Amino acid sequence: MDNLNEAGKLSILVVDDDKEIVNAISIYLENEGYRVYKAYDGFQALDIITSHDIKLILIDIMMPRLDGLSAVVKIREQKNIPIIILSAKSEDSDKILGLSIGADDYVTKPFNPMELVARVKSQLRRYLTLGDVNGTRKANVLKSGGLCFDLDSRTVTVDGEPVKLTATEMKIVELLLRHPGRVFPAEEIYERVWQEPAYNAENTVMVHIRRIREKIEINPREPKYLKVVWGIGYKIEKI
Amino acid sequence: MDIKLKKSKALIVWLCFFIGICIVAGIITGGIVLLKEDYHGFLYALDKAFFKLDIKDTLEFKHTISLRFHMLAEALTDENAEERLKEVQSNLEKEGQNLIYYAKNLQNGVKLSNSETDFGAAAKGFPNLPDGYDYYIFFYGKKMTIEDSGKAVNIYDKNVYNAGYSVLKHYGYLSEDIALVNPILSKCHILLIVKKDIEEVDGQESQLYQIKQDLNDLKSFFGRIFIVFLIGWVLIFLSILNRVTKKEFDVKIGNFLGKFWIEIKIIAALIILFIVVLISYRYDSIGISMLQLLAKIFTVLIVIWSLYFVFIDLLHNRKKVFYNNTINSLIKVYRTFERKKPFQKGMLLRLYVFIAAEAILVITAGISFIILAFGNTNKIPFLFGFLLSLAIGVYLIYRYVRRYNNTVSDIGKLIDQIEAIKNGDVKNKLQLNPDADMYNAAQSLNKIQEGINKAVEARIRSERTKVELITNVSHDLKTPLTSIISYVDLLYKEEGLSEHIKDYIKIIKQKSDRLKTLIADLFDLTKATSGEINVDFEKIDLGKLVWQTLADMNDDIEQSGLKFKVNIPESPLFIMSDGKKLYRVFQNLISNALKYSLAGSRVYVDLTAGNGKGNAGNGKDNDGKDNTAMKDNIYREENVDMENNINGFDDPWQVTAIIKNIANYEMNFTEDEILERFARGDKARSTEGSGLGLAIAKSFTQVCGGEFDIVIDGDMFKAILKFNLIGENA
Repeated sequence: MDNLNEAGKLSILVVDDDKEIVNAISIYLENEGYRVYKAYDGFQALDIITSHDIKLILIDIMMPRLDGLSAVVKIREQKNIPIIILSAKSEDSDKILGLSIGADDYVTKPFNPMELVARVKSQLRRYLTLGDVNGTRKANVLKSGGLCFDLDSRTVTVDGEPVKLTATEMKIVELLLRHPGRVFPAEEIYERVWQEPAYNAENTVMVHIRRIREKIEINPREPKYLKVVWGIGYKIEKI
Repeated sequence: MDIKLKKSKALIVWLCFFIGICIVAGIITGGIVLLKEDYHGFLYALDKAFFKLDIKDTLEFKHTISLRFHMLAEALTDENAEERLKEVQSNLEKEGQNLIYYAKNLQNGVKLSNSETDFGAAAKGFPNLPDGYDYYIFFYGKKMTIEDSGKAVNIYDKNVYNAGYSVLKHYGYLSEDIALVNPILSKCHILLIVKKDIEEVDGQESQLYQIKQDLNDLKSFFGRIFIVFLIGWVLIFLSILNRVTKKEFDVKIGNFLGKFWIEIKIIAALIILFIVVLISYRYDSIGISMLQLLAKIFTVLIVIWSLYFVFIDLLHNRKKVFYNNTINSLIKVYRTFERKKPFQKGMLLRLYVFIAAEAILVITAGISFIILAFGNTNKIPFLFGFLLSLAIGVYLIYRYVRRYNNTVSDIGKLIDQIEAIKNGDVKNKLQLNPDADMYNAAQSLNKIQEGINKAVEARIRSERTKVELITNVSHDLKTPLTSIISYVDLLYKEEGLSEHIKDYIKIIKQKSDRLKTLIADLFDLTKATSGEINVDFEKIDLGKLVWQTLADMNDDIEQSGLKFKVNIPESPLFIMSDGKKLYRVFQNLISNALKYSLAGSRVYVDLTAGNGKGNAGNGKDNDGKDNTAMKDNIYREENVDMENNINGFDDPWQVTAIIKNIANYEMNFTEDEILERFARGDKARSTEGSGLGLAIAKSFTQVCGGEFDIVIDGDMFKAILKFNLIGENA
């Protein structure tokens, strides 16, 4: 946190046609030390984007005049800043659409304010400290999105923030991160991590998975990295 | 108007065809008849009419002129010629200026002529013809010369004298040495000159003129026939050009002919045959009159048109030609009568009528046979009667059996259709022959199907609008709820508030969270029940999924103080389903069990594979030992290895999942009631949760391809889920 404050107040743009929601979000973000700009439709948002040095945008989809999706497309034409969509549309297809046109995260209404703040911080951290991804890339690092596993120092960071994992948890993350996207059955994880024949693996592995999720995920109920493939196994998403 | 015009056009074209055929066939027939009657005569008449341009080319002329020559020669050489000369002269005078003759006996100086000059015949040997004359026949005692239009005719050529001049040969005028045949004749000069354009002689019967007239008459007669013949061809050609239009009328004729019973047609054919035979017998005598000729032509035309109509009838009506008979008509009359009766009575009546008709026919055949065998009367009508009864009897049996077959097969179709409708086919209609016994039933069934179809469509439509409504409403609810949750959270964090205010805020916070869950659940449920939800089917292991769910909820289970007894086969239980949704299902069921179980009681989670019939409902008795403590509260049951049961069968083997718990309250409701969307286990609806858990579990199970049942037995609550297993390699 300290490094952000040193750099002066970071500007965040909140766009929603519901003023109360904008105000509430502003209060939370200002409490965290950000400067907040407010817009109530897509055009206002575009105006503010061009005239101010905005570092992150929170934007609703269903708005009058210019809707959120169109605004995101327009913003992406000129800016590389993180965009988080806030929407009451909660279906998978809506999320996929929002992320595929250039948003970095998708938060459904009604949201938990603290979770929203955590996501804002995470996006900013990634944008500001890890923005130059190619330059700082190390040879011995396993990555999936903001999740990094440094094999040399045996440390795990999420969006640049170090995470403390136990040795077993570390091994599980390493195994899954070495094969992002591949689904591992509990038995295989058990045998490869514990180095002994699997017995009663499901429960043991699941307990560890849950612990890891609580450490690396913003919302463990809706994990971004470490996912359960129900009825098959576990995987870390290839992002 | 147009249609009328079209109709009359078809008629006109058809008449063209009819008249054309009549003319052409009639003329050809007449020609053939005449040819047969007098082959050479007819051919000669034809030749004369079409190829003899001048009468001097005709046999008649040559013959007549030869006879005249002979007359003169005879008259000159006759001993007592006085009478003869006069007779010949008066005969030749009849020809007037058409014929100039000059005959002289050099021996006795007798001369016969209607001319002063001899045209230089005596001197030069060849006559000089006067103007307007172009034919002569000249004999100067030794030889004979004939010249026609300046061309000499070689009369001594065998073919020439055969063609009309045979008289000359016959009487020896063409002999090598004429003096030997008739010494007097060798002293005679005979010259006959014929006018180019033979004219009518006033008051006389000029034979030459007559020949000319006859030739002209013949020419004009054949000319007319020829023109008519051509017209006939033109008409036929026109009708062929318009054959499509002609066909329209043929179709009409076919329709018309189709109305008649085949019996009537056979009788008509016999009558025509009789007439034809009669005509041919009657007039088949030597020689032929115009009437006879016309009669023959008429016969041929009648035969042609009869055959044509038979052809049209067969072409147009095909099988119907034979089908349209008296027996069928009787059956039809009977059927209209039968149709007024109810189905059962109609079928019985049909059987009775059939038996009665067969009985009558058997009796008729029997009597006919007895008379045939023992009677002394004329046997032909009885033989006929016997065969007819037999044929009709067999035909009736055939018809009855065929009808019966059709009806049975239609009943089969009807049953299939009912089955199809039961299975949800609301689109394909059952089409039966309108004549069929089952037609009305099929129509009624189609109506019912239509009704169902409409009801289903209406329901789908209303479900869809419901989904849209819920989607919109849930969106509209979520937006203000976002504000509520945010501001309540801010309030909650406010410092310096008194304790009771904090409590109030806490309550608002809880309730707004519950509202959030409720809206989300309502949305999910509506989508699932209306079938608007996306399901990602993949091959998953149900056993693993249940273990994962239990492990996921491990903390809650531990806190609950309940003991979970889990019995899941070691071998994988593969099903095709949507893992995410099934997780929701088991999560809901287990969290229900956690919420509503009697404190300290056991919760049983059993998975069994079987054929879905035997142990499905009851699950397995829990006689296993609690040997494997996974966590303190979850026990893996030692189970019978199911592998042997599963492998080797690819029937729809099923896996049954049962979750059992003892309720911590009295379940004073039925299974159906608890599945109602807003029902709550305790009917009080006070604690957290939406009350939609079971309804969601049921809908999700169903969209994931499973069955979901609830059984309540006293204080025991059982959720039973069934899925079809798939093979290891599927």
